[in-house]
Formats: sequence, structure tokens, C-alpha cells
Amino acid sequence: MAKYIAKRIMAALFTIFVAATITFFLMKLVPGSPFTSEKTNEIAQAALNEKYGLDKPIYVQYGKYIGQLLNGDLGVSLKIQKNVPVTKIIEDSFPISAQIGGLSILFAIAFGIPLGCIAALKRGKWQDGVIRVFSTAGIAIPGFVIATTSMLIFSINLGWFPTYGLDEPSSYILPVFTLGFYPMCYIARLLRSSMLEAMGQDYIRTAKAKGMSVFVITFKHAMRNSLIPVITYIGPLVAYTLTGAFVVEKVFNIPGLGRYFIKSIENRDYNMIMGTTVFLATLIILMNLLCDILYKIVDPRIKLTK
Amino acid sequence: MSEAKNKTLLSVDSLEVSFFTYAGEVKAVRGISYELEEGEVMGIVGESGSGKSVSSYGLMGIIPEPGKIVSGSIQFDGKEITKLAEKEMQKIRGKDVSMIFQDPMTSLNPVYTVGNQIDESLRKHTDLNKQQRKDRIIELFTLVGINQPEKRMNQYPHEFSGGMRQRVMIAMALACNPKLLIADEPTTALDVTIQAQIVELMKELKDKINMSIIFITHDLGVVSEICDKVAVMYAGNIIERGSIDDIFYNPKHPYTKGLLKSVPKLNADDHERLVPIEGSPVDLINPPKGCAFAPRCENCMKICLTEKPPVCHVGENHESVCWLNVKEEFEKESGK
Repeated sequence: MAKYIAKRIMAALFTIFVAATITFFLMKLVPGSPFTSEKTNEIAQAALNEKYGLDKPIYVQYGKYIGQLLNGDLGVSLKIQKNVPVTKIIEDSFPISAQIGGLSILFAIAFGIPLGCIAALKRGKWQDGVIRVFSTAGIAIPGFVIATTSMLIFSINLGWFPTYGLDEPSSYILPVFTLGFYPMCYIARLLRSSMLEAMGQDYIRTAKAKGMSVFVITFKHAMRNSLIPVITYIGPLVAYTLTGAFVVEKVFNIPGLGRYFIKSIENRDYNMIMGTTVFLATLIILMNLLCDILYKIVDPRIKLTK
Repeated sequence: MSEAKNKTLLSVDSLEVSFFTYAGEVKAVRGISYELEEGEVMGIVGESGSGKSVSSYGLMGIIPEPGKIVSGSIQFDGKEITKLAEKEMQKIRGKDVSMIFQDPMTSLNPVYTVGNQIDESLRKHTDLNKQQRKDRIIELFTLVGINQPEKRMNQYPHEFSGGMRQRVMIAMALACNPKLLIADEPTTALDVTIQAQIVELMKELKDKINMSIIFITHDLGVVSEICDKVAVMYAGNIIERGSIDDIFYNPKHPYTKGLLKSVPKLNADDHERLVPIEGSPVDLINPPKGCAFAPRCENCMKICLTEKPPVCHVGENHESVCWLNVKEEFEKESGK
């Protein structure tokens, strides 16, 4: 196990390096620079480019960046929060995003799994029909529609929750709901289909023949066998959700990390683009590793050596 | 063989099971009746789709959707079990009646240890404490011939071979000392040497534990080795039943005769061909009006196509459902 994890971490470092390299060159391919929009003359722009090393040939810039990265230095923001270290920006905004994201994943799991179970158990009955329509709609409706509609109904018309910020506990409810709605529906659908598959297996018949109750059959025998696809989905989902969601942060005005992904690209804030990408890549790789270990725990047939 | 007159354990009367599919009602079991005494071993033979497995799922109350018992009665140990609520059935399943299935590779849950899966049954049906249950599992493993029971019980199904898994299934079925064991083609999915071992094991167990067994198979060789009596099923009906000797040495129904002819013999001459039964099984959505076997029968008469044959008592405890038997009977009487 320890050997396996060590191996995986080595592979992960290499993957992060590749991701950083690709992002770096793609980013540089896009025309423009962080300073083009500033109301400065060409001389001042040239001075800024020189200050941040943007006047050097691209391979020199690349070499310098990778060197920094190896030392854990992500550079400073060039535009969004000028001269503030990227690590500091991530440190400030990530916990907020992670809080909202974490809660919404818990919400998605806590409701998605029971819904999927009920739909599978009541296959073809009205409960199944309702859950299927509901969850398909949840996947089809874009996040900003859910965000604005729920804000309109619950904050403006009913006045139950605040419309922006995170000042009181109740202000978490709408962002968490909006962010967790899609994964909840997705998990429900995923679990429904894999539960139905598991319920048709021979070992379910064996469990029935042993006199096991519907509860034991569903939650002990079928459930554990149906969790693999759900885990596969939740892994990367956690990484994406924790690092923030642009739409939800924008609509509810939450100072999270999600908006920096978009903003940094809009502004050609090179160091921010690289910083957020490397951070996201690292999280995704970590979650994948965690998933693989979870597979092993859920299904003893899976071997962790390869 | 069973002792003289034993108590009747199971009595099935005119059992009918249908599957209500989109295409129509598939009449999988069309009115079968039989009795089983305590300690008796009955074989049910027949080709695929003849209703042998479905009729036994009926006994357990685990007919898969969209199947249902349409009519008939099942008296088990003096209780009518077709009318029992699901909760009541759960108390009988695995305790008084248990079952071994065809494919041991898929019949065990891959994510739990085999010990856990047997323990589950003991926990539900007995009052044994943890240590006693563990001892019982070890005892069962020893009984079915699994070495190192203490180590093996903590292993997962994928760590067992096919034959070993079937032993686990048997141990599981025997866990609560059932009165009736239903073995649904327990050897079909195994290779021949393992088949022989499992049959040998079942024979041993039959002598050691006095329980009734229903042995469902299409392997006539296996039947002759362990059964006391046999029922032959075709298209959802029992078309002939009797003792082992009746069925093997004095078959009365053309289908039974056909089955016996299609078994390869060791002492056959070179190039001797097997005699198959021509044709294919009937459509159970629209079963024929007369005898279901008539379209494939060599001796088919006019009446066979229009009228259902009656049950003929062709010997003591030997019944055959065929118009030929009626004809023979008639000829014997008029010849006198």
C-alpha cells in the first residue's frame, strides 16, 4: 500500500509538470498581455514587461516559471490584485470556496443516494417516475437559472435568505443548494441505474433465498456493489467543486476562488492562470488517488498494484 | 432410500406460475402436483424452459418479477405457504427451506467475505452468539470439505475456485439445518471432475443429515445417483413421475423415453449416433390445446392435438400423462 501510494505520488508530480507545461504554452499562444488594457503608453508597457520578465524569449520565461514552481513559488498576480502573491490569493479565497463546495457535495450525497435507492427500489412506480423527471430536469437546467430562480423565490419573494455574501449561516443555504443540485441529480441517476443492475444479480437471489429482508438486500448487498460508478463520479467532482464555482460565486457575490479562473484568463494574468490551474490539477490528482484507494475498500476484488 | 412410511413434508397441488410480460402471459408452470416425504430426495428433470427452476422458486416465494403464482397450493410442514406474508416467508427461507443455485461464480456477493455471508443467515434465523456462530461456520466448512475453515471463512468469493464456491453455497444452505433443500442445477456450471465431487458431497450429506432434497437438473446421470424418485417436466407440466427404477427402466412417456435415448452410453458401438428429440420447445404464451409434447412426439395421435391427456397410474406411485397410456390400458382391458 505505502509503495503503491509512493508510486502514485511520483506519477502525480509528473502529471502536474505536464499540465503546467501545456497550460503555459497554450496561455502564451493567446494574443494580448496583462498590460495592454492599461491606460499607459508604449514605454510604460515595455517597462512593465521588463519588470515581470515578459520581454524575455518564451523558453526563458518557461524555464524560470518551472524553476519557481519547483520551489513552491507561484509568483505574484500581474493584474487582478497587483503584486499580491498568487499563493496568498489562493490561501484567502480557497477556504471560502471549499466551505461552500464541501457543503454542497455533502448535500448532493445525502440526498442523491437515497433518491437513487428509492427510484431503483420502486422501479416503474410513481416514486421512480417523479425522481426520474426531477433528476433529468436537474441535469438539464443550467446552474445560473437555478441560482437566479431560487434567489428570486426564496430571497426576494419570500425573504427567507439573504441575496448575497456569507454573513450569516442562512446565507449558505442557497449557494449550497444551487451548487449541489446538479451533482445530486447526477448521483441519483447514476445510483439508480447501477442499483438496478446489481438487483438483477444472482447474489441478490441468494440473499433473498437466505430470508434476508428488503432492507438488508438493498443496503447491504446491492448498495455496496453499486457504489463504484458513484465514487468515480464524486472524485473529480470534489476537486472541481472545492475550487469554486464561477456562476454561484458570481450570482451570490461570494469571494471564492472560482471567479479567479475566469477573471485571470480574461486579464491575461499569467501567474494567476498558472497558479489556479496547477492548484486544480493537484487537487484532481489527489482526489483520483483517493478514489482508487476507496475502490479497494469498497470492492475487495480490486487490486492496487499496477 | 427413505425409511418406510414417513411424514409428508411438502405437498404441491396444481401449482401454476405465470410471467406477465409485455408479450403476454407466459405460463411457465401449468399445474404441477407432487408430494415429498421427510428425508426423501426427488429429482426434477427437464430441458431448459420446462419450468423446473421456476416451480422451485415458487416454493421459496422468490419468483422473479414479473412472475406470480396464479393458482394452486403449496403445503409445507403443514402450513399453506402461498398465502403467507413476505415477512413470514422470510422466516422460512434460509431456515426451513434453503436453496443452492446453478452458478456458484455469481451467486455469492463479491464484496463480502464468505463467512460474513453465512453468518448473516445464522444471525437472522438462530439465537447463537458470535462465538457459537463462528464455531458453526467452521463446523459447516468441515462438513462440506473446505480445508482450513478458520482462514477460509475470512476470504472473499474471488479467492475460491468454482467448486469451492459451490461448497460454500452448500454450507450456507445447510447453516440452519433446513428441512428441505432445493438444489437448482448445482453442478451445471462446473466442470466434470468438480461435478463428480459435488455430487459425491451431496450424496454424503444426504446420508448424514436427514433432510428432504429437491434436485433440479437436466443431468440424468446425477439423478440416478442420488434421487429416490423423479419427476420429468415438459412445458410447465410434470409429464411422468415415479421411482428411479420406474423412470430409468420402465419409462412410459415418449418424452422420457426420448430423454433416456439421448444420453450417451459408455458401451455404445463405434459410430453409434445419439438419438435427439426432434423439434423445439413450445411457446408458453400460447401453449397448444392438447398435449404440449404432441408436435415433437413420434407416436402422436389425433386426440393428442386436441385434448389434454389425463394422468394415468401406470404402476404403484408411477404416473404418466399421455394418451398412449390410456390406449394401452384400453387395449389391455378389451384384450381380456
